[in-house]
Order: sequence, then C-alpha cells, then structure tokens
Amino acid sequence: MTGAPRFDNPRDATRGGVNGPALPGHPPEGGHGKGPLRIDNAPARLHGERYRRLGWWRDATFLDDLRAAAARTPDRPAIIAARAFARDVTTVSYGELAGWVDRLAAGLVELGVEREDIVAVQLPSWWQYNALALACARIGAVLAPIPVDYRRREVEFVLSRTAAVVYIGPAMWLGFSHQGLLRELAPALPALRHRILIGADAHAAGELAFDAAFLADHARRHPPAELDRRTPGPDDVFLIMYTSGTTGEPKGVVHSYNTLYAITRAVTETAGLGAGDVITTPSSVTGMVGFLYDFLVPLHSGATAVYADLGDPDRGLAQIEQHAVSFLYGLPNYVLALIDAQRRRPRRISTLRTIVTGSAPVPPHLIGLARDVLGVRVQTLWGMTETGGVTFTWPDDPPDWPAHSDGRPIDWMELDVADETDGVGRLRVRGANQCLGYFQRPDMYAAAIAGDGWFETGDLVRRDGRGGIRIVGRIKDVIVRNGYKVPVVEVESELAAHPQIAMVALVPDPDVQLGERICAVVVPRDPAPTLAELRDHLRAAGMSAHYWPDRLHLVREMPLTSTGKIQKYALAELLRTPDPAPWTSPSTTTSG
Amino acid sequence: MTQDSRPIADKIAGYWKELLGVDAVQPDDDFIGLGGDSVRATMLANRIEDELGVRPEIAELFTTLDQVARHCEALLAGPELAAGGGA
Repeated sequence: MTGAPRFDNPRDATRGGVNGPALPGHPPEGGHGKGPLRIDNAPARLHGERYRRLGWWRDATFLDDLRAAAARTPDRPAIIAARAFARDVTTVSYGELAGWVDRLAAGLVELGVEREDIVAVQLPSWWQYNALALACARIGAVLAPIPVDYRRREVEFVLSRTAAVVYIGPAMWLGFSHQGLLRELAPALPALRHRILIGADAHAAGELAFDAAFLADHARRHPPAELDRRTPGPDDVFLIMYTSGTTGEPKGVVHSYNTLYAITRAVTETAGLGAGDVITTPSSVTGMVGFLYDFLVPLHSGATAVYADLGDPDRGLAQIEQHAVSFLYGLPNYVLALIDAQRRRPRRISTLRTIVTGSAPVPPHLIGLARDVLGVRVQTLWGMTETGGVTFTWPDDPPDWPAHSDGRPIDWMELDVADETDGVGRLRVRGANQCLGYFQRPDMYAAAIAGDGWFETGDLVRRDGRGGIRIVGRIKDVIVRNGYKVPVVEVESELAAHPQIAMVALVPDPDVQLGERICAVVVPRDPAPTLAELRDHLRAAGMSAHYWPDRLHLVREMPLTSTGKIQKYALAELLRTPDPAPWTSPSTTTSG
Repeated sequence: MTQDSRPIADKIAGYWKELLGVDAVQPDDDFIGLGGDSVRATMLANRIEDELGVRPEIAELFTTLDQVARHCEALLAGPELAAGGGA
C-alpha cells in the first residue's frame, strides 16, 4: 500500500454549520458564512437580485412545492417504489409524504440534528431517500448523499470531510454490509453520532433501526410549529453532492435551494413536464441525475416518480406499462437495453412520450431505434453535478438532431467556447444553475473559475450550427464508465502499489454497453498480474467496483513524453486497433 | 454433483468468464464479488435467454454461480419447479 495517496481526512473538523449562524426566528439570508466550514454564497450576493427579478431564482424552497402538491392532490402518488430483491412496491401519496417528512424531521431533531448539520444518506432508490432529503430541508439540515455502491475508501472520505452527524443507510445491500462498514469506521469519525439502518436487527452502540429512530412519538414532541422555526432560506445550502475528481480526491459540490431550483426548472421546462406526468429513471437518487428525475423534478411539478432500485430493463418496461410512465431518463446504454427488451417481449408502452439521455456519448442509431421500437422522441442534454442540465435539444430541432448535437443552452445559463482551434474549444458556462463551490476546497473551485465567473467544464466542444454544442472530448484525464466518473489518478495510484506492477495507466476503452470500459495498461513485474488480481487488490483497498478495470493489457514499456509522462492518447490509439500489438512482445490482453 | 453432469452450470460458468473478464470461476464465486453489476446482469440474462431459452430475473443473478445455475436448471425444468423465480 505504499505510494498510494491518502485523502486528507480532517478528523478534528469542528462540528458546525455551512451557512452561518441562524438568528432566533430569523433564517439567514444568502448564507454568508465566514468560518472554515462555511460557504460564501457569492452568486447570491452578486446576482441574487437579478436572478429573482428574471424568475430564475425564487423566494421559496422545495418544501413549498411539497406543501402545494399535498394541498392540491393529497391522494396522488408522489412515489411508487419497486424493490427488486424484496419484491415489493410501496406507494406514498403527496399527503402521506408530507406527513412522513414532518415525522422524519422530528426524529432528526430528537437525535440532536441542528440547522446546518450535515446528514449523510447512502441508500438505493428507495422512497425513504426522498422523505429524508425533505426532512433535512424541513429543519435546515444539509443533505450529503453517498452513492450506495461506494465502499470504505469513499464512504470514509465523505463522512470525515463533511463531519456528518448522522448516517442513514441500508443494513445490507447487494451482498455488502453497510452496518459492518460503519461499525468499522465509527471510532475514527468523532462527529458521527448516529448510524440509522434500514433492515437492521442487531444493534451496537450508536446504531438505530430506521423505525426506532422515527417514532410517531417524536412528531408529537416536536410539532410543526417547532420545525417551522428551523426553516431554511432559499439561498441556504441544501446539498453537498460528492463526485469523483480528477486530481486525487472527490469534490463536494455545494448547491443551494435556488441553484437546484434553476436546475429543476431547466429540466422541467425543456421537457414540458407537468402534474399529470409519471417520471422514472434507473439512475440512482444519490447522483445528480436521479436526484433530479426521481426527486426534485416530479416534486416541483406535483408529478409521480416511479423508483426502481436495480437497473433491469425488462422490469423497467413492465413498470412503464403498469404505471403509465410518460417520461424516462436513462444513460444511452440503458436506453439501448430497453429497446432490446421491448423487442424480446413487447409491452404496451404508448404512455411513454419522451426519453432523455446523456451523461455519455449517444450512439446516433439510438435515436431512430427509440422512435421505431419504443415510439418515443429522444432528447439529449449536457450537464454536470456542478451545473445540472445546461444544454438540451428542443422539440423544434430536426427529428434526428440529438444524433448530432448535445443541445442549446437554457436562458439562464451562458456558454462560451474558449480558444477555438479547428472548430474545437474548451466549454465554459456560467449562470443561475451554477453550484456555490466545492465543500472545504475553495482552492479547487477557484482553480475551475475564471475571473469573469466562467466555470471550466473540462469538456472540449464543437459548435453545432444551431446555437448549441457537440461534445467531442475531454481536457481532463477521466473515464466515464456506466455514467460514473472514474477517479483515474486514485485508481492508478492504488494499482501502482501492487507488487507485480511496475507501471500502470488507465485508458478508456469505448464500449457500447458501458459507454467506456476501463483498460489497465500495465508494465508487469515477474510474474505478471491477472485481471482478477488487480480487482482483488482494489477491493481490498475499499474501492467501488465501478472503478475496477474491465480489461488488462500488458506491455513491456510505456510510451513516455520527454518529461516522463505517459502518453495516454498513444495507449488509447493502440487499444482501438482490433488486435492491439504491443510495442515490444510479449503482450497479452484479457478482455471482460 | 460433478461439473460434468451439469451442462447448464458449465455453460453459465462460460458466460460469467466472458462477461466478467475472468479466467476461471468456482461454483461458490459471487457475481458481485467478481465485479458484476446491473449492466452485466442484463447481458447475462440476455445470453441465457438466447442460448438456453429461459429468462431469469435480473435480481436472481446477484448471487453465487451455483445458485444461478440451480435457478436456471429449475426454470428449464418447468415453471412449477422454479420457486421464487420468474414472478
């Protein structure tokens, strides 16, 4: 394990809020915190008035959307959640959801959660996620989602960096004991006071079963009027969402209610969504895509969200048929799998109007297949966790336009193509969607922002001729595998510590199923390692399976630049050839 | 029961090796432990359907190779024997 960089874990992090102190009965405006854990909401100071005047921001939060939907349509399902392994379906109406939110909020208060405390939630797409997120909002706590497939390394980093006071997760999911992991981590996490587990039976100190943590009794002790006093302001921080970085540690993207409102409006209006819609995505609620399409977008419209906790296109089709789903977001590989499933076992899915896809290159043939096999219009978009959806293809674009373009920007995001050479330049964006920064890493965020407020996306684009863009590549060393950004530097560092590896480079390997696969190009020591050994090594290091190599290619030496850096483009080119030849034999490829 | 007497288990072991990129698999190897995810599970279900003519549910594939093989054998033997599957 020598040579692997350690995350900077501030174990002595003082417990504290992100927005600054609240005056009794007066929620802070603008979140102008100054302390080490505080976020300076510069966008609110600089642009808040203008964004409000233009309607891009508002003087309300998503709790107001919940109240409106609960008052207007209390019996309408807010969430229909199917669990693949438990084989059950839970329906929660808007009226019930509002009740649950108050009950969960009261339970968090009972546990001592205060305004601006951080609550970490690591759950599959279960209905409790939605209710817990809103319960945090109800009392001004900040939500830090952790993807459910994150393992020891990432979970420890997020919990320790955020100094989260409560962790809520499944006792066990996909054969992995979150209960066991948290028991192991807890002694080194002084800020973490409670671990709440769904589906747990045995309890150690600091653990609570979900049902025991959120008793009806708590709600009686902490009535709505008390919860109201903790209500956050629209410019306060709601979300710290960690996303893989390219420079050695995950970045905690900070969003306020208003930046998320601008993002939600963008998605809602470009797709023409309303209260009558039934919306689904197989993407996890802990990432930005699922957070929008399973949670904020349906909530804002008072629509119904259909959850699935396992990406299964065959069951996905059954859900579309059964619940009259009208709108779906899926990664390109999921949409292709859905098309394949419909060909295998056709369902009546005439309610489905629109599929939105993105987060990975969209194969041109997908557009026509979706039209012919599924009978739907495909819309593409481009966005990041930092920005939400920025560019969208529109209904007035030519039918096959999504095969050529990633779309035009919404009114409240500007884009700029910097330093164009041969028609290709760096994509920069700014506007009302833009996040407030990276949690506790203002230096990292400042490095991504130019003086005039432009955010460097790290993507290379070409103009599409209709006011939009087409992504053509990336500046940064990143692999996007099945929608997950792979932290290339971290994985390489971990692999470099393997005794049978002399040198290693991770290179994207284009793949129709996963978008990109991870190919580990390795200069081995004797004996050469196998792909299974590389995966075992990363598993032992506590790395998510999303980051494990799919393929191993052995070479005798690496192509290096004059400064000694590995020429990754040369490796990528080598792998693109049908039968990749090594620079010098012997070389073998094990493919997954 | 030996490998030789279980042609279905052998075939499924072959699919695992291909889809998961591993050289060898054992009956008690776990799908998730070898890097299996929902994308690969979908590919595996499609492969089983194309070649064996039965379709296991994705959720049935997140277990050991032996359990997956038994489930598929039960599906092939008829719906009344495939308890817990194909709902």
